[in-house]
Amino acid sequence: MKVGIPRGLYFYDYYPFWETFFQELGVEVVTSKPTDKEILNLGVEAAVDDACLPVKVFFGHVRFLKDQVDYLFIPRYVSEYRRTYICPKFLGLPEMIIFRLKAPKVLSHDLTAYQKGADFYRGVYVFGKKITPNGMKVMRATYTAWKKQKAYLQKKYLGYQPQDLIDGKQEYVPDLKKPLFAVVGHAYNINDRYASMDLIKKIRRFGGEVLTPDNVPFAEAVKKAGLLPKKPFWSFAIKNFGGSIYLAENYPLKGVINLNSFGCGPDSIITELTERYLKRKFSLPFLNLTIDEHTGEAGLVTRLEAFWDMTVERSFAGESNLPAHG
Amino acid sequence: MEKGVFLGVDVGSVSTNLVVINGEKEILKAIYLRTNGRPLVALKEGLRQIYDQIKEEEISGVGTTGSGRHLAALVLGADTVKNEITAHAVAASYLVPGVRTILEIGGQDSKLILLKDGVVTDFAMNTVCAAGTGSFLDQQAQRLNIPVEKFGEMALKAQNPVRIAGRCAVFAESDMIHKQQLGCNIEDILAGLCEALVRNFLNNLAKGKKLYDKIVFQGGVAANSGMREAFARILGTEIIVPPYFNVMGALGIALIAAFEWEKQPYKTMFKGFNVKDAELKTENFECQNCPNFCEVVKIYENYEVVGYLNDRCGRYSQMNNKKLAGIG
Ligand code: SF4
Ligand code: SF4
Repeated sequence: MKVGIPRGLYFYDYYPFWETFFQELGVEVVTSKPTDKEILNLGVEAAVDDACLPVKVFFGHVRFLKDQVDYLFIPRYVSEYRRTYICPKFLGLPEMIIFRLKAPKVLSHDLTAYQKGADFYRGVYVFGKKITPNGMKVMRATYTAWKKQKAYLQKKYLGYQPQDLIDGKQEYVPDLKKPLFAVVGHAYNINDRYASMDLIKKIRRFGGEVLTPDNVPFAEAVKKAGLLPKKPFWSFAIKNFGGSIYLAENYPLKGVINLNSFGCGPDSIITELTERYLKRKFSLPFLNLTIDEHTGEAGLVTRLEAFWDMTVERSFAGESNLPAHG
Repeated sequence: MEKGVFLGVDVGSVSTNLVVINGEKEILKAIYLRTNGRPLVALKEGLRQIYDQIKEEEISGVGTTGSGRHLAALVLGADTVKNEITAHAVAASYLVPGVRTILEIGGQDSKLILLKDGVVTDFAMNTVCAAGTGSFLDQQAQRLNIPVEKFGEMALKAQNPVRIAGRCAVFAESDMIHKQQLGCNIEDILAGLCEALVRNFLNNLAKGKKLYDKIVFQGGVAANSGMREAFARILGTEIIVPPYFNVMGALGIALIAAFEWEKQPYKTMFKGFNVKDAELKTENFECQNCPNFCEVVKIYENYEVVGYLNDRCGRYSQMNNKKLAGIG
């Protein structure tokens, strides 16, 4: 049996887990290639018009994969962490794919940690039993996959980005002594080299280094999200808001770059809150970048260069010893 | 090394500007040209207007900026390549020391830059919405049969500027036509249009940012006194339009080239004025080596390839002289 895992959305969070899990069950795993123009076009053609960019990209990956595999793996993530929900677009994802693409055989299962964390793995177990009746084997596969996932998380807490760990030919070793920038946004936007116009690499080429909410343990982000008058129930709002506060408190950041995808409802609120908070509490320079399928690279580069000049080079007239952003 | 003069070039989609400053940073020459979709032609014309007054050996440094900065850098041989936001900020704080806010409206884009003590603290740039740029004003002036130069003057005569919806270029136009049909006089409509543009600018770019004095207004549109008035009225403060307001990007990048020279003298990469007579050509081709199908631009000088632009992976541009192209 060959199972396809589209390279989009939760891919960047859970790929090590699912790859290992399937392999342990003796299933061959195929992933789609990194996003490129072809994938994006496939997605834009097929997805509903007002979908956000990453959902369109996901559609593209599904279309690219669907004839190469026996099944597509599209789980329904409901909740990743206790008392939180994931974006509603994830909830409808399996159906969106099945009906819009007249698709293929989809392997799906509901995964939720809303009540308690263990429910998530209970879901994995039930799902695994669909593949093999051997419960012992499923449990063992889950355990091995979980270990892989844990190692992946540990690496991320050291400053590695998902794209460094998943699709890098050689492993990139982050250098946190360079001028540091927090890049805030969804992992599936930040780590998609094509959709993000290789934002991370661009900053590294200038001579900077990047930290993202992925580098912050969720428990820490939750603590910081407590600063909001009401705890958000979207987990990625906690990750992005709480995560950026954590980064600002723990690292000498030069600035914060927010990467939004056009058409993302939830982001518009969280970005605003994050920007206000970071500016007020930390006087941190903030740059907002919005990407969609039409975004020109030139405009993004100009903004990024200007942001670098403003935060690192600062003055061009020689007398650069003035206090920062006072 | 002797400090000579510095050339700054700003290649934008609407205008191509050149500024020459001497070692004391006095402006010797400022040239504003229409790009007309052919940046290389404009660039050569600009050089032609300079070369009889400036000797090639005198040039100590060259800087390029604007959306065509990499193209210009490859063709000219530039020492400094920088984005237009930084260039505009440097020029404004040079001409107007203590400036805190820069309003810049050019042909195709607009920018808001905030500074403190000569250092940029925040900026915003609009490149998508037409209803905040010079081209839209030009278009409307044309539609109303008013020479662009007269536009500002007439707007100043308005008694009661009419309110025009400025959110979007399409709505603004139909709203103006409607007001005309209602018999509003043309001065009031023009003044209303200026106000709509200013509101649009502030809504899009200033969003919750505090604009401190001194406020400088620059870019091609700053020639329009109606626009300056509208900013002054809506912001309730004085608006400074600096001399050379329409070539600030070129001035800024010339200054940066000079400042960098002062920090660390360098030998210029400038290829010389021969470029003005060279056969310059660009050719586009679609790379078929991966599914990104980049529209790569290939630049020829006298039938010789001098560089490549626009490849996502660097497959071609890695052959460029890195320093010349201002990348890497
Ligand atoms: S959070 Fe935003 S970007 Fe992500 S799937 Fe939902 S709508 Fe799209
Ligand atoms: S230039 Fe590079 S990225 Fe672009 S199509 Fe060719 S190989 Fe692909």
